[in-house]
Amino acid sequence: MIKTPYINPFSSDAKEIVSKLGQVESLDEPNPLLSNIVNHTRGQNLSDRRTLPETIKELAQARYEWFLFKKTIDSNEKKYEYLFNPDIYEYDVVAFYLLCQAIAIKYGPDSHETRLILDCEENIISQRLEILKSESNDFQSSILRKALNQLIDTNNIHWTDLKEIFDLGKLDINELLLSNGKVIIEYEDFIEEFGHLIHNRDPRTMYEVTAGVNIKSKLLLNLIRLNTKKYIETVHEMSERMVEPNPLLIELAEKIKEIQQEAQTMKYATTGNSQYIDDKPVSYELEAFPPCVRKCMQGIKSGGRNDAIVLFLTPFISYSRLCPSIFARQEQNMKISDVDPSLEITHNEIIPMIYEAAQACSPPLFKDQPQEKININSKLGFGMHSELKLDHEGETQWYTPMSCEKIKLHMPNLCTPNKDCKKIGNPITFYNRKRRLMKKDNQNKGQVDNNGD
Amino acid sequence: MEIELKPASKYERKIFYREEWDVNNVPSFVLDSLTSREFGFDHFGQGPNDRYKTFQDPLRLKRFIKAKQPFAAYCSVAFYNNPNQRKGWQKSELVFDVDAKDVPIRTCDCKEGQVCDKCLHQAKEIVLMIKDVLKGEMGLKNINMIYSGRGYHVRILDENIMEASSELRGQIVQYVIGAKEPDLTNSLGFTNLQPFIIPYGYSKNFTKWSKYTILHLTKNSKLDNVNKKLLNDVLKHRHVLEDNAWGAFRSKIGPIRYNKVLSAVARINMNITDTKVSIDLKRILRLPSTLHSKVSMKSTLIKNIETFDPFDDAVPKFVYERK
Repeated sequence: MIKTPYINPFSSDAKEIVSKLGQVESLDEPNPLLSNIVNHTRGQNLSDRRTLPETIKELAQARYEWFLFKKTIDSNEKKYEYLFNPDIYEYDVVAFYLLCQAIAIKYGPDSHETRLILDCEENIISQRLEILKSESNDFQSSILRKALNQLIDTNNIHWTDLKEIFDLGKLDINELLLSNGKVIIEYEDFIEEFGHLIHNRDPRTMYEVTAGVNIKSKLLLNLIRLNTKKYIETVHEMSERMVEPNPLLIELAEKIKEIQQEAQTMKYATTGNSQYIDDKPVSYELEAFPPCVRKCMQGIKSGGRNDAIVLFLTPFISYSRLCPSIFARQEQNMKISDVDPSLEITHNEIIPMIYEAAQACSPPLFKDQPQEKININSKLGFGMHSELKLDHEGETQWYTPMSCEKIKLHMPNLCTPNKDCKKIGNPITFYNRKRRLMKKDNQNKGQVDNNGD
Repeated sequence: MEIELKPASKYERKIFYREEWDVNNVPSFVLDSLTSREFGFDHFGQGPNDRYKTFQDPLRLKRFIKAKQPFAAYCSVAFYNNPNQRKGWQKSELVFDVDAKDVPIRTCDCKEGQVCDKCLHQAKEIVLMIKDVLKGEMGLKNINMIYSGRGYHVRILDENIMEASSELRGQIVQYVIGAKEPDLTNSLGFTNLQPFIIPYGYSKNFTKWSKYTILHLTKNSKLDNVNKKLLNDVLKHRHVLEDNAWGAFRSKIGPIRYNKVLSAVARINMNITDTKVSIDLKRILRLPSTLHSKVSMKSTLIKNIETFDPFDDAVPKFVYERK
């Protein structure tokens, strides 16, 4: 039997469990009931007993490890099989809250660690829901309904009530079925609203294909993400008024850092040279520029010039030269001087390339809008000044390259995707991928030539 | 009498603001929030460079406009604590800007930048479709439609939407104008689902807009990744869409080419409104009731969009007196 807290740590049952089992002093003590569940989990790898959690604190660490090591050479799902045993739900919920508290107190709601815990929770619940897919649709639907109704009223919710969910960027309005503002989630509402429109097709199948379990799962995952984020914010605020946090939480927070470092080392060991990780300046490879950048460099007509040159091209041209792997970095809040300390590359290569594109616009951008030079400096992180000076750096942020979604909204005419744009979310990702492919092609060519010799 | 959309002279502006313009014609949704809004003015026809203006009451707004007789007047869609500094943002109207000169599927012979009766009518059709989605699917109620002089503004003031972020507004626009191909991937194994077989939700909306766009294509239309031959085939077979026979249309075009057409159509739909305006939380928009001096038309709050005709309802008196 699946209990709601297993897939929703914010359910009322979950809160009861936390108040029952969450006494801090007991969280670092061996718990025989927890060990019993772990040891009796079907398919659990028991070969290395040291890695099996005996305390709730260890279980909290294990949740984090599972997520971070998932994509490394040390990934061994069977080692963490107990996380997907529904019987673990009580200890799992307490471990989840413990982890959130440790991160909130030590690292705060805007930290990289918070982003990781949000992803971690989403992944764990998502995998649990995936396992549930072996059950019938009716079973899945009813368990999801129960879990969701602890957070929203699935028979009566307006799409504007989900504003914060849309802002998470993981669910799009067009994925939801709307009728007069109401989000149609349950089958009975679906039939009431749309049943009369369906002819010669099975309404149940139509419901499952266009909403059903899929939308319920997505909503649940997003609601959990949102609630986790809010919980971390609340704990962080409270912790600022606390005299001294519990040492157990500090210990756990430090352990989390260690796990992260270990996972980072393993990740690079796994990827070897296969990834294109450039977090230092690299020469331009113009042939690898995406179509939108090429189009922009050829000049833009009046009307769309400012956004195209200042908001779109400036970040792309600067990052593609100085730090193309910006989105692979843990820390994205960079300054140009971190990678170009003398600003030599910025002055000699980046600015000329941006100015050349501005000059190619019709009419030339700076002819009627010379103030845009200051805006370009500002988007490079040097404040609203006419000259690029290190003294001003940090007054504004170095803008990261705009995503494809944003480009489509801001400058729809710029986006004329080609076959390489498929599944690409950002022009800089296109650039990195294309450079990798070009390098591979050249290597293959070299090998063929050598063989030919 | 045929109305010529030509610029108003300085004298005509003076006549308009002295004799015809009345502050009471500024819609109540602006007057009721006057002190929270930023106003901007273009005095010389070079863009709104007199900004950060605020007015404590309608009387002061009236005095300013009567005295300055601006080339163009604007007010913010945003409400601020300190509108004279554009600080303390509270909320913003949600806006759709349909400019007749920028409609990507114009069927008239207007030159770039110009508008005519036909493309203004097309802009109105688009506004009606937008209104339907906003009311029907999105359940929004406080929807105001304004003739802007060369097109239409749809301004929504439902409280539950005014605090929406720029990103969310982007999503709303894409939904309302059918600018994204529906993602119909599913775990049930249906690999060839088409939006047109789904008679509800976003798929229905996307199909409706796609039909509108395809039926308004001309032989000169430019669609990404659609060559002349494919465009001609679309034009040849599109009549079947009048009866919503999408299956027949798809089979006549061929499934691969059909997918290409739909992707291109989604991108055209994206240009039906100026998305930049919708996602900008601090935009200023032409103040309804004032003069669009470039075309000598009044920006007008529309009472009944069905019966509204800009050439009857938005022409300033001085235009009729022109020789």
